[in-house]
Amino acid sequence: MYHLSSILEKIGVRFSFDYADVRFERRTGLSISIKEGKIEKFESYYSSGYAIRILKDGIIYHAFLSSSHNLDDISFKEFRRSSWVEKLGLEDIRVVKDKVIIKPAKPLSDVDISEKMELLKELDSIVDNVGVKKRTLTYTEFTAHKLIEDVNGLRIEMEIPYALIRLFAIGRYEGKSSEIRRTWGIIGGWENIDIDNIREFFEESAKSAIESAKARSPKTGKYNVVIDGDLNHLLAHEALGHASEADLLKIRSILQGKTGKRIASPLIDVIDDGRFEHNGAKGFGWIPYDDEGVPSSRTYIIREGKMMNFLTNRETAKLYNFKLTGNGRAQSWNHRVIVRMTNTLIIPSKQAEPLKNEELLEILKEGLLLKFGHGGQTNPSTGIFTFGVQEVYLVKQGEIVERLGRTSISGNILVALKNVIAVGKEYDRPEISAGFCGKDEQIVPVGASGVWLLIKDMHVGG
Amino acid sequence: MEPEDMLKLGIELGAEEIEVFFSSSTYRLLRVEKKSIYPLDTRIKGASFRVAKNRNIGFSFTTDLSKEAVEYSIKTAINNALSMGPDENYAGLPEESRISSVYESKLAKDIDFQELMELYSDIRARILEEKKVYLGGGGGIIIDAYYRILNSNGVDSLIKFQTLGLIFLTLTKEYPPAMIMLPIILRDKIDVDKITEKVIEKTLEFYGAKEIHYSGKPEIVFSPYALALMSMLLDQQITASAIDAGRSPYKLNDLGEKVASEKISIIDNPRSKQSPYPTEVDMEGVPARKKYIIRNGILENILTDHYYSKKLGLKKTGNLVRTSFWTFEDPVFSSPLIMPWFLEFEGEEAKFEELVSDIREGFIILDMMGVHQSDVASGKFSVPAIALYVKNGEIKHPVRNVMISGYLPEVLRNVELISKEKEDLVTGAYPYIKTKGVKVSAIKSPLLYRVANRLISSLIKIGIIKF
Repeated sequence: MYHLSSILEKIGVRFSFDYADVRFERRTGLSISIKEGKIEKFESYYSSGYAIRILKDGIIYHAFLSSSHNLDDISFKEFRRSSWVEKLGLEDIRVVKDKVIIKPAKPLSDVDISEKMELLKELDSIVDNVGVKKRTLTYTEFTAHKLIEDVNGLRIEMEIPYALIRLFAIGRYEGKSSEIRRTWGIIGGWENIDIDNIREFFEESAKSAIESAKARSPKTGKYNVVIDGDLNHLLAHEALGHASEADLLKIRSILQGKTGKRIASPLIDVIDDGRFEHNGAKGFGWIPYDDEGVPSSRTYIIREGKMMNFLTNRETAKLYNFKLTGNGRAQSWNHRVIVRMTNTLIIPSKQAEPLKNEELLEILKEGLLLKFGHGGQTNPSTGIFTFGVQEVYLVKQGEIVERLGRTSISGNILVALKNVIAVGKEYDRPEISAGFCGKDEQIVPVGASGVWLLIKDMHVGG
Repeated sequence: MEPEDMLKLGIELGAEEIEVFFSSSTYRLLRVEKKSIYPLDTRIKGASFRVAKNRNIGFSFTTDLSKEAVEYSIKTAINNALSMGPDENYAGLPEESRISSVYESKLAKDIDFQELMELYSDIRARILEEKKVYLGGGGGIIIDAYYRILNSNGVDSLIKFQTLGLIFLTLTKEYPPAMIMLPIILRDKIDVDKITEKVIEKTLEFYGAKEIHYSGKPEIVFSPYALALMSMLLDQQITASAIDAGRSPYKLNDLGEKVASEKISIIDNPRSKQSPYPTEVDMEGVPARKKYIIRNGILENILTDHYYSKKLGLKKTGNLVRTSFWTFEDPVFSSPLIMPWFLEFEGEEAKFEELVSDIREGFIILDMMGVHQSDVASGKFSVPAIALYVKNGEIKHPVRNVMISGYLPEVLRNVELISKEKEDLVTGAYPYIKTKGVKVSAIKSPLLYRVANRLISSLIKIGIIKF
């Protein structure tokens, strides 16, 4: 591995700059898949390389090199900027030297492969015993080790281990089928993998797959709905979060010009929190520093219904004179830093009187209970969002009376968030909302589950 | 280390068979976000390994090609194979092939970042003259790919190509705006007028969207762009791996059976010059040829790789690809999977106007959101869409706030016509297809909301509100 300072020095000699930083990243990981009782795939990887960023005369240049290249392969050729191109800059940051290495009690790399395989086999067996014959379970772990340095003396080193177990199952009933996807993800070590709860979670998931296949589809239309913690996260993330990423202002965001205005129910806050934890479990988007060396933070995107902050990285904080929120992230060394979410969720505001989940259903009276999201896409310029819903229940007189088939919900963020009429107090576990968010052909880990919400007039697909 | 040395090392370390997929590639991307430009220069050198041991195959990859790192990676792959135990369907690695697939593009070879920016600037200036179109950004990409596949069974094949592409992100200048992303692969020449015309024309299709009330199962035409999005679902269903896993509406014994309308054929053509990554060999060294997946409605081929062709007793179709659904990565980072290369369509063809002329009331689906979250096993989709409303054979106006739902197999079974006109959209050359059986529902937003939108749009039109 090259000393990052020597890279900066070498670039400085060949190509003068106004500012430069280098990010070295090393990722190791493995993935084991079991399909219907048989270990089908076993993959490992090692990826390392350098992301070099240079600011010169208002242009931000990037070079990404795998570590098998030598420094002479770095090529920066100066641009003649066209007249329409605007000058870019980077917000100044405090020069920090820090090292955050998560040291679990039982590191994932210390756990024998056989133990991981046994867990997978056991979970597979549980799903099989429920009656789900078509199924794949995947155990994935990876550790991201990052080192960021800049010409001003910044030095941040981080190491974060992740693990996920994913189930893909197809429930069948009398010729009909329905798929179900579930994830359980943690940051930390083997001790954070709550095996008893995982067993129960995947057993319930398998049963749900079969129930979904039996069920009739809900009719398309508008419903009053209660959504669970996982859908809370998806709503916050898809419906609002992407539109609050400041880089989108360059193109168009539905939230443009809305700072200080009421755009949601006063009963809710929407937060993006890089250090979110619940009952000792870190949200899957947990980061101590972002990939520019900026400390992560809890940012209120919405507070008591009012738009408060956009999420920023150094470039957008400078461009728009916004608060620097520590949301500059990159998938890996071979991707540039852009504005990304961390753990995004809706929480009760000071004006809310949070309720228990059963109370929300009582207030709902007639409508749908929606649980477990899937996928999700948004057009943050127009405010239109959609995501899949895996478990749908018909509620009558405040009681669940029928399970319905999977569906999707969609809407406009500026309408949907205003329609939140009651807020729960019980957080679903962060592990169930562990996932990855895709933007600009990059994916990063994100989380986390929030509380249940009662929303009126949600458009439900059939 | 060089690939041949990696191969030798693998055998020395105890691999029974070994495959090296080696990449030494450059990706230069000029990204534009409104008036911000970002030149991104990515150089990848890496190797991935599939290693056979004890009748199973382990996989690993590394971007550190020092001897120590390669040795560690191969050993890990060997251990992975051993940990899995024997596979009763073990098929080893493909046998000897020496195919050199080289598609050079003078355009891509000769252009640099500066010229790419000047090209984008030129097109940008022309688009800006169109008052109803807002150019949000886009950019260009130059790929110089070199992938070599070697294995211990004598495979030594090469995939080498250069590709130049442009992408435009436009919005209609109204409220709420429609957003359109248009990729354009440049092969032989750069026709700035034609590119500009296409970008503007495609964007204006969405301009002036209204909201209506509608519920029913009308006649539907999927635009090429919408069909390309639907193919994200189809791509996952027509592979041997999906069928074997029960993750497809199709079954093995559907081969030779009618699964779609006789008026449509779907082809996978890896060698198409319109593809951004044309090839004559797949990424494990199996020859990749043009083949019918569905011919006149009959399921003629299921896409396979070496393993599944042996497991299921199917023809080898050369469809082992290394890619990710979600990120843009060099193939070395991805584990192998089966996918089509480049889709083409044939069938009962007519001009686009003829597809529309006898529609009493229906929709042309222009764009959809969230197809990737559909149910792959059944093909069920339920997604928001933007469509053109058609009445009495005439396209009236675009419509927003539309939801469409249905089953993709049913959509294919009900195809009545496909258009002669095709559009190249990275993953294939897609026509318009006319079909039925798709439920459409459209809802009007509250009146106040619609009135406010109209007002804002008018103010944007006359320049009082800056878009």
